Amino acid sequence: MENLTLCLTILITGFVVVFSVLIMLILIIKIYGTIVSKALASAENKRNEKQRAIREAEQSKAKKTDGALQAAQAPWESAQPEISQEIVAVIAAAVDSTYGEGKARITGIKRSKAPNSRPAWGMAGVFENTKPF
Amino acid sequence: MEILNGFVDSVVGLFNSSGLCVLTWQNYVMIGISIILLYLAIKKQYEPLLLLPIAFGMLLVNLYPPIMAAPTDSSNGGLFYYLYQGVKLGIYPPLIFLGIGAMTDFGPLIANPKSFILGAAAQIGIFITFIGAILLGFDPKAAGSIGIIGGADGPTAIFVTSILKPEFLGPIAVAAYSYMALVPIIQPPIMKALTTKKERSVVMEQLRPVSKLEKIMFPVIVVILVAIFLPDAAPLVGMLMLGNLFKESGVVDRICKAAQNELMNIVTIFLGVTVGATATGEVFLSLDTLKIIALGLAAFCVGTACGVLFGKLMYKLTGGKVNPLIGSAGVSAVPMAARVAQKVGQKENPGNFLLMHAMGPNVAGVIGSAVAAGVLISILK
Repeated sequence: MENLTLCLTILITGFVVVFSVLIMLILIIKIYGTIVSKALASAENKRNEKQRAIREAEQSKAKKTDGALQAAQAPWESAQPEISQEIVAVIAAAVDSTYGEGKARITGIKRSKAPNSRPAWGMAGVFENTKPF
Repeated sequence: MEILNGFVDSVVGLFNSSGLCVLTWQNYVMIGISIILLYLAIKKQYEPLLLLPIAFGMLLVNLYPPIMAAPTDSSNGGLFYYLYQGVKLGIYPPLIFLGIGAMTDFGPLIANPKSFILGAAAQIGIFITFIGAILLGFDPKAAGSIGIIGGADGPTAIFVTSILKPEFLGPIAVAAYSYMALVPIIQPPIMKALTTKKERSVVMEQLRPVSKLEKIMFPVIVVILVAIFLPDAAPLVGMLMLGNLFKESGVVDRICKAAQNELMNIVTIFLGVTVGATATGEVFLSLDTLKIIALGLAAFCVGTACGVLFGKLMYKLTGGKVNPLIGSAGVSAVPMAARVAQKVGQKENPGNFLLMHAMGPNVAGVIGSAVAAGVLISILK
């Protein structure tokens, strides 16, 4: 009799608790899934609108100054004469990749005077290894 | 003459301490079983990552029993005795869960949270087997440890047994991992018997993409909910979710890789070898072991059947949009059970890809079995 009571207690408790916890998780995931999806969708819309506005502004500016050619030449013209065209192209691509297409404009490129003799890749390695500490 | 006597005494002493005098017939039988398990692990590749260390631990402890001996006034104790403390104190299973969490993608479950129902349904086998074990004469703590085999989750079975009935650790671990390895053989006949050809052929809709933010929030929400409502499941679920947060946050790449690889591998070696070492001849070769193996199989079959039956229920309720086969993946055994669902589904319809749909119930089963473990521990401990 005692064992039967225990068996039924375990069966009912287990059934109810496991299902309740997992059903609660379903509801919570559904709710936060909906909230997050809506938040992300609205952020995406805002970003799209902003990009459209930037694009439109750029297009109107380019029209005024016959800008297609000028825009392409801008970074090159702003660089110091000893910096080659390839280096300018690489820097422009890196800027574009970092900040997003059309979100940043290069106004000048000049060779920096490093305060120490450690090369840039060496600095990057040291930074990567010491960051967690 | 004195030298000769000394030589004879030394040889007699060596012979008396050798396995030929110390070992019992049970040890020799266990040595045979461990060699069969080694064969299955190496040749047949049945869960080799676990079966191989378990089988070798079994072999070693039956060849040299003092390796598991507790320390005394005159000796320091065996190597495995110390390694075993991680099992006895419930340290290794949560660490394994940390690694599993770091490797698991909960995306399919977040995309289709209804999968949780299937993960819960497959745990019914645990509680049904508990009743079966009581009817076969086991005490409630042993019955709880045997029932958890139905969760098809090795670390959870070991965690529960180490708390409720440590002396059954060997047979229960061997049964749990053996059945996990035999998922492709045990599950398909049950799946086919309970479903129609039409149900098995259902092609499910593609899952929605899940955002990074949702994936990051998931482990935090699950751990808060489970730890508050079921604190006994917190060590397992907490570590599972910590590992997953390592993965999804993307900011602790090195720690995540360590949890997935180095930590997981080291703990797997210690866990496997020491669990195998609990299977000494005297403990393992008993009627109780046979009963445990039979009940473990029953638990596994009932869990699979309940998952499939709930899958059928969801099939009816959704108007045929859910393939009931994915219910069988609700018994954890990640990712083997999901792969079996995919394979059986593809046999009926070669263009059907159920794997990602089955991964939802599969990972829900991991959480479900941890919750079931928490229920058993909180009631029976």
